[in-house]
Amino acid sequence: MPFTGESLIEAAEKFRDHINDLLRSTITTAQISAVPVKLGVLLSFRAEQRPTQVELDTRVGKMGFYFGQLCISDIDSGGLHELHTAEYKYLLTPAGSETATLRWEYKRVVPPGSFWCRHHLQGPITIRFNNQDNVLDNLHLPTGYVPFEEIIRFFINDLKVPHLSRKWDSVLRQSYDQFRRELGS
Amino acid sequence: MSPLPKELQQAIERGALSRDQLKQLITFEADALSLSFDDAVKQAKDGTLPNNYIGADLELLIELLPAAA
Repeated sequence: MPFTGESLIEAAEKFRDHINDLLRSTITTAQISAVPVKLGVLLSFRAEQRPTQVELDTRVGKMGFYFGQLCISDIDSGGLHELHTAEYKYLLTPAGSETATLRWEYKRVVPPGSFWCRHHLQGPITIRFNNQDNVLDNLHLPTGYVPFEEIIRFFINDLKVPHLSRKWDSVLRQSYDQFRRELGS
Repeated sequence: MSPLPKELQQAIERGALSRDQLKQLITFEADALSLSFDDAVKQAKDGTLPNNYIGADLELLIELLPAAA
């Protein structure tokens, strides 16, 4: 069920508020902000409107989490705006590093002449295929659409980021089930 | 990254940046990566912006350019 509104910004702000409620119940009190233009909105962590990443305590040390989601809308016959994701970038970066270790990315429309997977994972990670080393940054490892709820789940379950509520699991499941987006088209 | 001008911060908070204001924001973020506006747009198109959170945010802002008035 997508987020809707009388305008793109109204629909995007509903989504932003939902994400912020979810973050407060799971891993951080840092809040997502909106950078709106006429036909699109960028939702991301910002401090005084400059991009920022949230510091997370993980079982492997401090890491920075960047959330970026570019939203657009389709307008139905009644004039209601239905929000869609045009692009997302979720980055996980070790403290003090200039480069993200993991980047989950999605583009609704791939640039002309490109044929890579629209939903993919990249990072400066070496994968060995037979006797050849391949860097994940040079591949587009397919992932399917990755809901941000699952990113948060990965942080809590696998990286042992302290949760802010004992209800984190049900909060994430409820959000995922209620607002599951079809994405992928 | 240097602070954004108050007017630009307030424009973002008020809603619906103009194309010129978006370009101004892009220029600020590009400068944090020691890039000009034009270099940032080219690197975004080529997929060669730095793989850090500023590069990611910059690429998403550049994607917004066609959607700005």
